[in-house]
Amino acid sequence: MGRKASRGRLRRKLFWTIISAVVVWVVSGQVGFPTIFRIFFIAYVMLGLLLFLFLDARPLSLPRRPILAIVIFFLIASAVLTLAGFLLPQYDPKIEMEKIQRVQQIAIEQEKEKEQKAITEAVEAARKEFLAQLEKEGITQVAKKVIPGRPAPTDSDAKRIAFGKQVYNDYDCYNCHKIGGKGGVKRRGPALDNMGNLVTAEQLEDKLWDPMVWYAEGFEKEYKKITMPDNYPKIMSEAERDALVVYLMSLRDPAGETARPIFPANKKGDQKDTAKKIIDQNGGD
Amino acid sequence: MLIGLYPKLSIFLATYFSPVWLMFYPIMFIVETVLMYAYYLSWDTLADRKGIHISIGVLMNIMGTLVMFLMNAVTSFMNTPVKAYEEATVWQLMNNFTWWPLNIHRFITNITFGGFITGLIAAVMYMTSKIDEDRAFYDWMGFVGNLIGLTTFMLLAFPGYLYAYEIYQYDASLGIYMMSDRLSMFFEMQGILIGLMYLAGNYYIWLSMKRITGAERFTSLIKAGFVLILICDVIWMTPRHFFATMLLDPGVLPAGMDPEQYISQMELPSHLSFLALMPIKNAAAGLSIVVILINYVLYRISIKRGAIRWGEIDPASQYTLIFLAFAAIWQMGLMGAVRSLGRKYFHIYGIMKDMTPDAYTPTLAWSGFIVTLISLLFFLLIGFCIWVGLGLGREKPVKGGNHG
Repeated sequence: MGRKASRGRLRRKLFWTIISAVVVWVVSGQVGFPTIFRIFFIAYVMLGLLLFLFLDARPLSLPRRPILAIVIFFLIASAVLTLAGFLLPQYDPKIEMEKIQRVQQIAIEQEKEKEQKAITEAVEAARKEFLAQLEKEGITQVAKKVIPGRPAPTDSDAKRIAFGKQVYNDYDCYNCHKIGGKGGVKRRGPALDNMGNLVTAEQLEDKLWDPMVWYAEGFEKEYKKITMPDNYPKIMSEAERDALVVYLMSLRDPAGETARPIFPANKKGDQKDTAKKIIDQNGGD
Repeated sequence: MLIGLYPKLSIFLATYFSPVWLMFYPIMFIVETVLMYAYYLSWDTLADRKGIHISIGVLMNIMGTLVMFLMNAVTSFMNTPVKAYEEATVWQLMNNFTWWPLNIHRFITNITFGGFITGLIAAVMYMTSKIDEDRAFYDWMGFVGNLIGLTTFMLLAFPGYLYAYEIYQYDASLGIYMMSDRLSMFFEMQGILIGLMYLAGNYYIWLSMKRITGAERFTSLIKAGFVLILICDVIWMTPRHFFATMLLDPGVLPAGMDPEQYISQMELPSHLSFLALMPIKNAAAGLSIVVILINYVLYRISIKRGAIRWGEIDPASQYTLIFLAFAAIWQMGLMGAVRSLGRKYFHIYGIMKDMTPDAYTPTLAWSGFIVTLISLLFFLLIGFCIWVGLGLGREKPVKGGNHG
């Protein structure tokens, strides 16, 4: 191919690249893409130019030092891919490290508990005796394994709510649920903005420990697929659960699209009990 | 290394998977190694009894596949363990949610990997060959290797989806952590690699056709195909937002900027959010595959009507083969990182926490750097094998092969 012809082809490619870039920029703006997406599309137009330059390039000649050429090519490919990894958006690992340290504290406490096995067994025996006594007196209580962990702040509701919000974030609840429009890209769990007006604290506790106990209206499919994780009794302490419940019960936005609870037959609690308990919580009216 | 660095995890796995890890896996590994030596050393001895020789090769591959299945059981258990593991049998521990999707995915990947490595070896030998006959042979070898690699590479999307689907079925929060939260940009990187590999695969077909007389009439059609692949790539690559977590982490926000304003600048608006969902991305991937198939059909038509000149391919094709192998290895390293990091701060998800200070998910930048180092190390090893096994740089007579 003569130089003149190849310069002509290059000019034509540049011309069409510029036209494409302008069209892409204008149309993407009109359609409503944010600027960063438009820049992303323009980068692809440039990639297209590079590709078409390759397609019509003159054939390469075999390198005089093929091994060196291959090694250099490897290094260039390595640099390009590594650089791409650097250029994509990053997160700060410290945020997750702090989250994990908080959650790991439970496991550390569990290890300490194992070392004090004799004391724990004695405490457990005393607790069982106490529960048996309560049962004799007509008070039923479901025995739950005590998992020591982070103590919940006790001096004010605001602090408990803040702790509960932290638990919500630490356990990635936002992955499936929305609060204030944030979280849960695909519809996997209900929005939680109005939980405090729709369920009782006890029902929330039960739900966290056993996702099958009830479900949100409109989420029957997700309920049947057991989409909500059922391993919180193993990884979350009761103090964390209680704080999370306090936080969720503080969410009382009637404008929020929180679905009402549905209690399947043969599961704990029902709608009448819920209504009565909510009425009682709100002073009897 | 596993036992030395992670004794608690090793003891757990050895306890619950003792028949697998302590018995069947070592035995089958040894048997596979013996078969490999038998296959290699009997190449000339069994030249006249090729049926037996091929049978040894097939048996070796079966053993290798079974070895992979056994270790996949342990690996998949670490990600999606059976919840009542203490009462489960060994089979129940093995047959967890992601065992078979991982088996299928890795089985196909092994073939893809083999094809691309064959192409890589052929490319190196092509570029270092001194005589035309050698170059013709390695040109053909590279073509066949690339054909195997690319064909099976196109199939990989489907077991990949199955694998992700089963992760979501097991625990949706795992899947979301992977695809929408901290590992989302790892998948963006995967998208870059897949797009580049589709382009490279088609570029190789383009260069292959340049050495076939009469193939020029398909030039415009193939170029149109490239435009289509670029558009499909853009759709495949378009993320939901240009920040690396589901919710905005503190510190990401520029000073003085309102979070809502920042999100509106970095996230797809709701009327365009369909571009971030799997249906349209699946359609884009499917269309890319169709273009590759059409290009291959055009290639076959060209061969039937024209004459193929083995050994006269543009050397740029050999760099393409090298790139495909490198990208495949890098991709495997990246996806291995995703599988491992997807467990969050657990060694065994929901059962055994990672209590070390390194339990967090490293950034994509750091992970990519490590994957690059591992890939380079791998290629040093392959280079050593080529140097020792194939006599790189030494003149060797090459027997004629099937160049059809």
